[in-house]
Amino acid sequence: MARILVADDAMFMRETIKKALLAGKHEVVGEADNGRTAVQQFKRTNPDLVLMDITMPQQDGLSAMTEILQGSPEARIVICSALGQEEKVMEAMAAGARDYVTKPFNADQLLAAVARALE
Amino acid sequence: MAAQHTEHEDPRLFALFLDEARTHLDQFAAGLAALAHDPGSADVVQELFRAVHSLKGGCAFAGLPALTTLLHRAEDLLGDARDGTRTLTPALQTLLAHVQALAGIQLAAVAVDGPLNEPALVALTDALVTARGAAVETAPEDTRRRTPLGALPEAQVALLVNFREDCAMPGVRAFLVLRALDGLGRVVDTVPARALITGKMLGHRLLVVLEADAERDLLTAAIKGVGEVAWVRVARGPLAAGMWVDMPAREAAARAAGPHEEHTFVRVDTEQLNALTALTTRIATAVAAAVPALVDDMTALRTAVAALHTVPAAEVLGRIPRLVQDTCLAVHKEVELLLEGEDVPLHRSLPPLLADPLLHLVRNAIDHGLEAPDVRMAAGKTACGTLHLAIRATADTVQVSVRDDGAGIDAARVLARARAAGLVAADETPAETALYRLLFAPGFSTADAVTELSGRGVGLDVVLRNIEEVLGGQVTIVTVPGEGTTFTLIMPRDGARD
Repeated sequence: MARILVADDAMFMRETIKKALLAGKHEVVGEADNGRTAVQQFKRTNPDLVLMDITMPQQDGLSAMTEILQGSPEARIVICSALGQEEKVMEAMAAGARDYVTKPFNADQLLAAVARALE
Repeated sequence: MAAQHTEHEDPRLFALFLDEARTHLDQFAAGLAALAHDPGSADVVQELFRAVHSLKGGCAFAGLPALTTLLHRAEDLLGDARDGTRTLTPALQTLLAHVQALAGIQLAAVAVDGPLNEPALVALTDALVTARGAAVETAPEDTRRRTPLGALPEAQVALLVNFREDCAMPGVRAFLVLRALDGLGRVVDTVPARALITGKMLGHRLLVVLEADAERDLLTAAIKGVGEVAWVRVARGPLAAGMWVDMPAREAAARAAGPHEEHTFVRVDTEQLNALTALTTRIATAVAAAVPALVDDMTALRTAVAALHTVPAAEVLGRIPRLVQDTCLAVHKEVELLLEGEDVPLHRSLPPLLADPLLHLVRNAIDHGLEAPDVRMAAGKTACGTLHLAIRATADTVQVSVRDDGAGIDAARVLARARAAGLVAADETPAETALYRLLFAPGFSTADAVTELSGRGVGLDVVLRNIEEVLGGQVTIVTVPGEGTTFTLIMPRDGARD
């Protein structure tokens, strides 16, 4: 079980993700609906892992991830992408993201990606 | 195939989705209004893009594919505008307003469990695609050529990685595989070439030639740790000669025509391979008689050479999920697919011979074996049927079984049809096994309505001929009324007879 920060601008998506994480016995230590809040929440909660949406207002997921990794190079970040964002996902992996899931994902796929990133 | 992941089962989440969708729809409308006043505003376009993108994401999760596609095309258009490659003309703004309105109506319908208006969604999607001035992105050329991989130096190891069929971004997974292997050795070559491993890579297969002395298990574990990997084959040095690589045709041509770099790919002639096998056997026999101490080494050599003739059963099973999905769509049924035995080694002559029989058996099982969802529910079964494909190997045989949990074969109906077709005399009643064999007769079918897919019994005839005549195998049918039918193909393990 891990302490996880969930960043996604859609509450529906955050709730879906939280439901899956709780079923997998993880703890959600923070939520953010934009990239800037995600960076702040990361500093405040020091989570084991961040689930990061790409398209978010104010600061997008890639920029937030880069900022987090600058301060904490060991941070584990899993990208939540949509179909069609292949190049952005590739960019995120090259920049140090641990893994990714593609929406729509099911709980098993999400938990598998989380488990791999925690290894 | 089982229904796409949907949150309908969780009313609270579905309500949340609808609630947020309404907010995004309002932002969509507000953005369009703002755009009318200030067509050039990058901020407005960005807001519009995000509203449509979020709406699309929610619809995908909620299991509304036609609406998701419509919004995706609208997002494409807004993406062009955001990237500065397109101006949102009044005509395009009107089109987007139609999208906003139709999405609103459809979500209102869904909120009260109504159906989506698919024709309207498809028509508007087409209009968007046309307006964007291009056909729906056509996938890059994806014809593949089967190319044998030659022997490698002892220091090099070939790793053939097959990603799962449902892996959405194989290019990204391929990138992660290379990242995982970075610490274990030096990557000498890849197929597709490294420059082609991008987010848009379509194939589900990656070959890596790695210079490394790491153990096979370590390499396999590193690759599987990347996730969404269906199977990995590992062959070091000369043993890599038995591997086949699916190479994009363009790349294969470029490699063949290109300058002769120091190369890892050498063609292996099948006849030479067969001759090598025969020679090895003769030497092994002769030497075994003369020098007993060498027997173990020779046996190991024979095993290694025999392995050159095999491919994993995943070659055969890998195509099944797509086939099942397409068939289910065509006949409006739901199927949960179970695959077993992907790692079983098959003689390389078997996959091409099994392709047609499996195609027919799978289609037949879905079309005729499994009942329609309402019929299943009425019989106290789950709406979603189960199809179980298993490949198992014994010392001498390979057994492929296709099992459905459908209604079973109606012996009385088969007999009636056989008598009507003049295949069985009116005063004759064949034993059940013989009766089921009639299903294979050309032109025989018990389907009352000949369906688009597998009517007229054409398919099963092909199954019989391939298995029994070409392979010298046998076909068995076991059926239990109300519980389902199992077709089993039993073939010699060493493939086709010469």
